[in-house]
Formats: sequence, structure tokens, C-alpha cells
Amino acid sequence: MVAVLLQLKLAHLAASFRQGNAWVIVSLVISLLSATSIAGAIFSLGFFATSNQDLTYFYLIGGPLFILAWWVLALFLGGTDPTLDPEALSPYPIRRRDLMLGQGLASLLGVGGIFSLFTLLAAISSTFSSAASALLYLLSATLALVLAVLGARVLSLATLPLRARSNLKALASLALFALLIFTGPLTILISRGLASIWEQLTTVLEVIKWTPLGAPWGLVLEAQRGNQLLAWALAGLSLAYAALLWLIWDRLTKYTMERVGALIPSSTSSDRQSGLGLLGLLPDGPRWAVAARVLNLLGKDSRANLNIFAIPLLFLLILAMNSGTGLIQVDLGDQEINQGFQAVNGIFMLVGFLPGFAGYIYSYLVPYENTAFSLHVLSPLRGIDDRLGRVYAMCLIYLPLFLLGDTVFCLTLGILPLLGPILLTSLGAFLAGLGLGAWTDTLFSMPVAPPGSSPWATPQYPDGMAKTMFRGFLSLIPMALSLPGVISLTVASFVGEGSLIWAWGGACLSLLLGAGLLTLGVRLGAAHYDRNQALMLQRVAAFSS
Amino acid sequence: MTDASASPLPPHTKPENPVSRPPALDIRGLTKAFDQQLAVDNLHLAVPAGSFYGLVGRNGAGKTTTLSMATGMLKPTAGQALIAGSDIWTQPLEAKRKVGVLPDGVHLFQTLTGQQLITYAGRLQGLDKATVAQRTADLLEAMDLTAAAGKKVADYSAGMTKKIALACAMIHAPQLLVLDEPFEAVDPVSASNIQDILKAFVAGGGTVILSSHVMDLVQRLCDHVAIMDAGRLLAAGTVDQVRAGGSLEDRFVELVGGRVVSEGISWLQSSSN
Repeated sequence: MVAVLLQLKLAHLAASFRQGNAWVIVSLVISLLSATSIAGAIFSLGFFATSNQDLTYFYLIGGPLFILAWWVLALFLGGTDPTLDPEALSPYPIRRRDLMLGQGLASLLGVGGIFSLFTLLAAISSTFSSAASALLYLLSATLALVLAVLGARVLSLATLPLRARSNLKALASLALFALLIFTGPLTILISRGLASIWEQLTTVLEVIKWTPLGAPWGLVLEAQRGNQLLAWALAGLSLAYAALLWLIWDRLTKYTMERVGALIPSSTSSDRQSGLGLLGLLPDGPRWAVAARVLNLLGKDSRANLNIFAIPLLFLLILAMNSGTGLIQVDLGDQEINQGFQAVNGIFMLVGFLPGFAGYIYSYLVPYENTAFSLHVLSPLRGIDDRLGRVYAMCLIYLPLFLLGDTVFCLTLGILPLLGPILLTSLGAFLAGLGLGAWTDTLFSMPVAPPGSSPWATPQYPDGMAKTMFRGFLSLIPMALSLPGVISLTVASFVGEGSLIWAWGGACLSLLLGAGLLTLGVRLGAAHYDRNQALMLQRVAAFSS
Repeated sequence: MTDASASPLPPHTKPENPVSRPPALDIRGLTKAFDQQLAVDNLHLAVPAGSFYGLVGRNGAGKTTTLSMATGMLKPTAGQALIAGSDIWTQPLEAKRKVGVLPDGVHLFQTLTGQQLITYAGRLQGLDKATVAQRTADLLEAMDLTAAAGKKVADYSAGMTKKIALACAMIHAPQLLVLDEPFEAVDPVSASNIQDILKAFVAGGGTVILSSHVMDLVQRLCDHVAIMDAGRLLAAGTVDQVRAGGSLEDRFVELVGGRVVSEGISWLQSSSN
């Protein structure tokens, strides 16, 4: 039965390659190249880690991070791959032990599994001094992988009731998103933290060695230090942790399979709403109705509201990038900070990249709607009303964010005289992004996870990567249109307030270009919508399958 | 709503001479090919105004493809579809004002409540706020969804989802209702209520086309029927004409074929093995 389950998982994986599209292969090659390059870096680190101290750091920092990565990802991504979901398999007479074994082994099939095997194998370079160490390393790595998989399964099942609650699920998505956006600054902070406790670090690591995160790595470390007895004690401890995790997983699987369907969230009185919401607040007419409904989607759909949440996070990130190194270390009087901001990069990110990115989110709206978009197609709705209704919604939600973000940014960095040009250039890039989205959305649809699924579920579409790359290329257009504003703002911030007139001039030009692209994009999009709305529906309907 | 058994829609005035009205739906040579494979093959069908028309066929017969092409959801490879005289592909706004559609297997806007969804459908039709509010209340009551009006559509059961989608199709009081599998997953009480609403709609001069696998339902509810198989029309006319004295089911099996006569599967006869 375990073999059958593995075959099922493999068949699911292979199905994505059978659609005859070269982009699937390209995606796989890129993933493999990434895995290889990271594995190469680990190989080098292991190879040069020769002293006892180096090996301690190598095993007891990298090793626990490897296991922790599995566990944290299981917390956030649990349930995104339903291939061997215990709830789905509960009607079949499968022994629990077989199901668990199948699930455990199947979690190694796929990009995550391949990536893990690559990195674990690469780290064997740390044991090149002796064959015995290499053999012991293989035992350590196997135990580490077992603990990583078991812990991930336990956390995934234990948090199932929490993930079934849409509010908590959305919160977890936002937390993961924030984590991803702040990976850079967090890495810097962690490095600084480690540097500050470097003296005490060895003591901390010696404690980690006794935890489930560190025990398997302590085994190979102690063996290399010559403490054979301690090494085998840690091996025993790793096995005990594995047995305990298996036991908990077994109990949780039994509990889940006995309560199939019970975890489907049921609405409570607090979920119920009275009234029409924004449909009752915004003016009459189809155009405003579309705006109200799109605002509802952006606010309440966990796939869509990540895009809104991204804006304040990206503002913080740009602030962090332009206030020296590290996260939010802003000092109003610090001359260096102002100089940092004067970097072209910072200005471009603020007034070109961020608003351009936000505006082009327009192109995801119809794909998020999926076949619910059929209500538009079946109605006597003019293309111009569909396109402008979406523009209104995007403006209503994003413009206040930019007004607030840019103002806080300028206040924080003491560059208030530049606020006007910054706002105008941002608006120009945002409008350009909207215009581009309003048009390109009618020509091709970006693949997204279908309604009701996790925002992190991987959409299985053969040309998804091609579209994503093309989207990346197109999103350069609004950024390019912001260049007059970016250049004049850069000059103004270097030269001083005397050149403010140029900043205003450049900003106005960017705004005009953005408004022009918006007008053109909406008109072209509306005309294309009127002719091809059925094709648009068929394209997004393919994302349901 | 004053009478629960009546249509929640404004009553249509039944014309003196229905023959003078153009067909509610006039399909002329509709064809759809997917990757060289014909799903619908040169289909001609005229649905008389004021009729209750059933469209039946096996799975994959082309019913949904035909209805999708006839209502503007799927571009045909060739052919025309006229709704009360307006071509759905060359005069889409005019044609879509005349038709309400319940498509099968599509998502709804899940983050809206039931009340908001019907209201949204009404606003997309260009109806004013007051009219939409009145009709939404009537439709919610008729569909027995008043208590669930404030609940998100994502939390609706399959039957409730079908009913709310049907309400969306009716909000603008169309001349023609095109319903793809309208009773699938709907409980018997709700199904009876919906059938009453549809009968009243037809009695008032409206036209209903429904697709279904359930022959008994079609025979009981419809006055006209068309049988499709492999993208082609095998028979069309009044139910009495098509069934030719027998039951509709027997006639369907006779026309479509594929019936397998067997004494069952031997290994399925006993559960002891």
C-alpha cells in the first residue's frame, strides 16, 4: 500500500510534465540549478570547516536551521498539497501505519524533497577527513531528515483546526508573506545578533545539541570530536525523539480520520453580515457596483489581500534599505540617512517600483475571480464599465496607502519638501500600472490558485512560468515611465531645494505619461473586453481544473 | 412578496398570438470544435417563446457547450444564436438583457453574502438600487434563503449555491431563462418551490430552457424537448411528439443507444467474496 501511495504522488507529479509545454521543464531546470548552487555553497562551507569550532558552527547552526525550515514551512504551507490528504483517503481501507509511511516518504518527492537531499548530500564534504565520519554523517543526515519529516507532519496535522478557520489561515498567510519580504533585513538582524553573542554562542549550541533540532547533528559532531559514547547517546536521543513524534503523528492521524468533514469551517453569527456593505455605500450603476465588489475581493480574499498587505511592508522595507543597514534604524537628525536616501535606487523603489507593482496587480483581478467572472460575461456590462470599475476600486484602496506611505517616508527621512513630487511620480507609475493591467488582462491571464485555495498553493499550469516572466518584463513599463520623476527627484535630493522646480517638472511629466497610459490601456482593454470576454472567461476557467 | 407560489419576477403579459413572437432562442448552425474535435456539430434549434423547453442528452452530448455558446460564454466556431431576435455575438448587450442564465459548475463571488450577490447581479444589469432591493428580498424569500441572506456564499451548501445562482439569473426579469442542470443537489422541497416559480414564469409569457439528465423531470415539467447526442440533435418538438406514445426515457434510450443488457456483474452478486 505504501508503494501505491508513492505511485499516486509520483503520478500527480508526472502529470504536470505531460502537458507538452517546455516551460515546465524550464521551471524544473531553474529549480534544480538553484538547489545545485545552494548545495555547492554548503559543500564549500563543509569542505573548509576543519577546526572543531568551525564544525560546531557548521553542524549546530546549519543543521537545526534545516530541520526548522521543514517545520516552519509545514506550519504555513500545510494543506497546500492535498494529494495524500488523510481526509481524502479516509474512505479507503488503508492501514494508518501504511498511510503515514506513504505520506512521510511522499513528502520527499517534489522540489522540497530534492532540495533537501541535495543540501544534505552536499554537507558530507565536512567529513572528508575519514570514511568512518562520512558513514556516521549519513546516519546523522538520515536521522535529521526523519525528524524534519515527522515534525513537519505533526505540526501540519496539529494546526489543521487552526488552518480551517479562515481568519487564522489568512493571518498565517500574511505572517509568511511578511517573513518572505523581510528575509533580507531579518538575515542581517540575525547575523548581527549572532555576532553580538558570538562568545556565548558555543554554549548555546551545546544546549541545542540536546534538542530534536540538534540531536542528530550532535551525533556526527561528537564523533568527530572523538566522544564516541556521547555520539551514540545522541543517536539514541534522536531515535527517541523520532519515536515520540511518530506516536503523536499517529494519534493526530487517527483523530483527523475519525472526524472527516468536522474541520470544515462553519459560519458563526459573527461571520454573518447585515446589509449590502460597499454595494450600499458606493453610487448607483454597474461601474460602481464592479468597484464595490472588487474592493470586497481585495479585502476579504486571502489570495488577493496579500497584495494590499504587501504595500506597507514594502514601504518598511524601502525605509530599512535607505536608513543604513538593518531594520528601521531611522534617526531624524542623521545626515547619513539622508545621504542614503539620496541613492537613486531608493527613489526608484519608492516612486517607480512600488506604485508600478501595485498598479499592475490589476491584471490579477479577473484570474482571482475565476469562473465567477461569468456573471460579468452573462450581463449586459460594457467593457468600459468593467475596466473602469476595477480602476476605481484599485484607486480607492491603494491611493490612500501611497499618500500615507509617502508622507510617513518623507517625514521620517526629513525630506518633506520633496513630498509633492514624490506623490505625483508615484501616482504616475501607479496609473501606468493600472493602464497596462487593464489592457494586458484582456490579452492573457496570469495563473493563480483557484478561489477557496491557499494563496500558496502552486498553480499547475504549463505556461505559468512564461506568463510570469512576460509579466515581469511588462511591469518594467510603468517603472520606465516613472524615470522623469526619478531622475529629477534624484537631482533635487543631491543638489538641494534650489532644484525643486525640476523635481516638480519631472514628476508632472511622469504623471502625464501615467495618465496617458491609463487612458490608452482602459480604452484598449474595454474594446478588447467587448470583443473577447468569452475568451477571457475560458482562460480563467482553465485555472479551476 | 405577496404570493410564495407565484413568480418573484414582474409578470409577463402573455401575448394574444404567440406565433407572431420570434423564437425565444434561435440556434442556427452552431458548431464548436476543440482541437479538431467537434463538440457541437452544425446544430439548428428554435425554442418557441413561452415554452418550457427541456434539453436532454448523455454526459458529453454537447448540452453545456451548446448553452454556453447560445448565452455568450463560449465563442462558437461557426453559427449564430439569436435571443428573441438579437444575436448574442453581434448585439450582445441587447441580447443579454433578455436572458438570464444559470451556468453549471461555475464559481460564484464567494466573499459576498447571498444578498450582496443578488444585488450585484441586479446592478450589473443596470437596475436601480430601489428595484434591486425589492427584487432581492422577493427572490431570497422565494428561494427560502432569507435566513441565510447575510451568510457568505462560500459557506453555502451545494443546494443553496444553486438557488442563489438561480436568483441571480432571475433578478432582471428576463424573457428567457437558460438553466443548466438547475435541480442538481437541490433538496426536494426547494426543487418543488423552484418548479412552481418557473411554471408561473412560463405561464406569464416567459420561456425556460433547462438541461437535465432526469427524463422524468423533463417529461413532467416541459412542454417541449430536444434530445442531443455527440453534438447533434436527434429529435426536437413537443414532448408528446418526441416520446411518440412511449415514455421519454424509453424514447431517449432508443434514439441514443448504448444500453447494455446484462445480468449484472458476477463478482458483485455476493459480498462474501
